Amino acid sequence: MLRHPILLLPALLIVLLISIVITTCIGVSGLSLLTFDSEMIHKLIFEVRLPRIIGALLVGAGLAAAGCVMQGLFRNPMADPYIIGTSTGGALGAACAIVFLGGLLMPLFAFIGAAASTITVYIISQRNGRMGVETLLLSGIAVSLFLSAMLSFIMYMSGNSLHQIMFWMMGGFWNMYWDDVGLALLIPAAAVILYIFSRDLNVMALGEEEAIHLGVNTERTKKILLMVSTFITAIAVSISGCIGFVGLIIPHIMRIFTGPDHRILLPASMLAGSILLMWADTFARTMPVEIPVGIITAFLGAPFFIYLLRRRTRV
Amino acid sequence: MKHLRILLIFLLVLAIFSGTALGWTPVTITDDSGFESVIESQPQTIVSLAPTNTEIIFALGLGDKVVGVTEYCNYPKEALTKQTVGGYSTINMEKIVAANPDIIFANPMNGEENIDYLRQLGYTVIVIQSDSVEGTYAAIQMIGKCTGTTAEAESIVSDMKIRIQAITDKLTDVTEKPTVMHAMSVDPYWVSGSNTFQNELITLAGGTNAFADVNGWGVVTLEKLLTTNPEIILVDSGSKMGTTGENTLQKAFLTNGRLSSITAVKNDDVYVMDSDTFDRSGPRIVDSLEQLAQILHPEIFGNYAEPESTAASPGFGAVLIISGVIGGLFICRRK
Repeated sequence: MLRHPILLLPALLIVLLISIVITTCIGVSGLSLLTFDSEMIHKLIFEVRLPRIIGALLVGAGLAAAGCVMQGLFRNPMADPYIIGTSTGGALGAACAIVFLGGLLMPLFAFIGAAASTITVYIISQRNGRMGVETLLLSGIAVSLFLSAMLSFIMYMSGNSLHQIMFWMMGGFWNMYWDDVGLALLIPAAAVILYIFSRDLNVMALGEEEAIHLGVNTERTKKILLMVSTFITAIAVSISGCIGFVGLIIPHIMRIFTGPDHRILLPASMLAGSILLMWADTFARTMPVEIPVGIITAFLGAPFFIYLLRRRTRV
Repeated sequence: MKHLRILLIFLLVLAIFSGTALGWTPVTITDDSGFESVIESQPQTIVSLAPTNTEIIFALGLGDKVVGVTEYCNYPKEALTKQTVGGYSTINMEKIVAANPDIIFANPMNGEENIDYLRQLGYTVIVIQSDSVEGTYAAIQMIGKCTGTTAEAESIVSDMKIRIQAITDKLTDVTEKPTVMHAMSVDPYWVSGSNTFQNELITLAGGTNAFADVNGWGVVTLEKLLTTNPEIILVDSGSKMGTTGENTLQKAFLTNGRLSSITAVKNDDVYVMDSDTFDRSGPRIVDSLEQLAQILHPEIFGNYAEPESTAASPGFGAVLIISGVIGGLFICRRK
C-alpha cells in the first residue's frame, strides 16, 4: 500500500492521457501523424483509431469498476463482473443473433442476454425481500452453467457461423465506431452512481450485520450496486464481447496500492482498467494478423497478477 | 460368310478381353494421411464424410452406391436424398455401422480419432485432403482408383485441365492483375491469405491476393483494410445455417461509410461468391474459376452477370421473434 494512495489517481490520469496520445499514433499501417498523406491519416485517426481507443478505454473502465464493486459486494476475491452469469447470457444472446438473424442486432441481443441472465439470478436468489450473498453466487453459477449448455448446443448446431460466435466470445474492438463510443459513454455515467455508494461498500466490507447496525440499508445498496454494475457489464459485453481478466485482476492490483478504501480503489481501478485495455487493444490491432483482445488481456494479465501476488506475500 | 466368322471371332476376343478388364484386381492405396489400405473387391456401397468427396463421387457416376453423406453435402441435388451420418467431426458411428459401407471417403476435418475409430471397426477409410487445384485432381483420381472408375476420373480431370488451360492461356499476356480481397466475415474482417485454396483460384484467374502477407486465413484490422485498398472484394455466400451471410456481407461493404474510400467499394466491385463452389475443392472449382476470371478481367472474358440471390432473408426469423415477444407480453398482460 502506498503512503498517500490518493496521489495514485492524478498519476494514473496522466499515464492515461499520455497513453491516448501514443496509441493514437500507432497503427498497423505504419502511418503516423508525421506522414503527410493528410486525407488518409485524418481518416485513420478520427474514424478508425480514436473510436477504438476511446471505446477500449471506456469498456476497460467499466469492467474494472464492475469487478471492483462485485468483489466488494460479495466479499469474495474470485468475483468478477461476469460472476453472476452476465457473460454467458451475453454470449448466448449474441450467438442467437448470429445463428438466427445472421448477425443482425447482435449488440442488442447481447445486452438483452446479459441483462436477462443477471435478472434471473437476482429473482432466483431473492427470498422474502432479502437476498443472501452466497445464494446469489451459487444461483449465478447454476444459471451460468445452464446458459453455457444452451450456448454449447447453439454453437454445436451453428455450422458455418461457428467461427463468428468464436470471434465474438473472445472479445474485441474490431469495428468500433463513434456510435459504439456513444453507447459506451453510458458506462462512466453509471459509474458515478457506483462511486456515490463507495462509502456504503466500505462499511459492508465489515459484514452485512455490522453494516446494518451502522445504519446502512444493505438490501437497497446491494440491489442498486448489482443493477448498476450489471448494466455496465452488459453494455461492455454488447460492445466488445467477453473480455476477461480486466474486471478480475485490475481491482486486485489496485488494492495492493490503494488499500481497501473503495473511494480511492474504484476510480483507481477504472483508470488502470482503461490503460490496460487500451494498450492491450493497441497490441491486438498492430499485430500482422489481428488477435482478439480478450486473449491478450488474459495472456499478459494472469502472469503479472501472479507476480504481484508472490511479491506481496513475501513482504 | 467368311467375313462374318472373322467378325464373330473378333467379337468373342473382345468380349474375353473386356471381361478380364471388368474383373477386379486388388488395389493398394496410400491415402493423404499416409495410411495404406488394400481394396480387395470393387466397393458397392460408399459413405462420404465430406461435401467435396460427395461431389466427386457423384461426378464419377457412383451416386447409386452412396449410402451415407454428411449434413453439409448439398450438391448434387440427389445427395440431399441420401441418409446423413452426421457433420464433420460429429459423425454418428451407429448410422455408419447400420449403412455398412464397403468404403468410406473421409477428410482430415473429420478428426483423427473418428477416422481411427472407423478403422478399428474394420472399415476401409480413405482420407482425402484436397486444398488445391492439383489436390483436387489427385482426389478425383484417387476416388476413381478406389472405386474402379479410373477412366471416368481421367476424363473429368482432363476436362477440368482443358477448361483451366483455356483461362490461363488468355491471361498469359495480362500484366495488370487487380488486387482481390476474399472476405468470409466483416465482424471482424476475416480474409483468405496466402497458402489458401482461394488464393490459388484468385491467382489462376489473373488477380493478386490483396492480403498475401497473411498466412492462411486471418483477421485483418480496419486500418489495414483501408490502407491495403483492394480493387475487388469477394464475399462468401452463406450455406447451411445462417444463410443470411450472402446479403449482409455484401451490404456491409457497400453501405459502411468508413469503407467508401476503398476502390472496390467506390466502383461497386463487391461480388458474392457461392461458397459451395468457391470454398469447396471439388470438380466445380472450374465454375468458380470461370466466374472469377470474368469478374477480374471482363475485357477478356466478357461481363459478369451476378446470379440471383438465393439466400434466405433474415426477415423471417426477425418477424418470428418479434411476434413471439409481442405474444408473450400479451399473455403476461392477460394474466
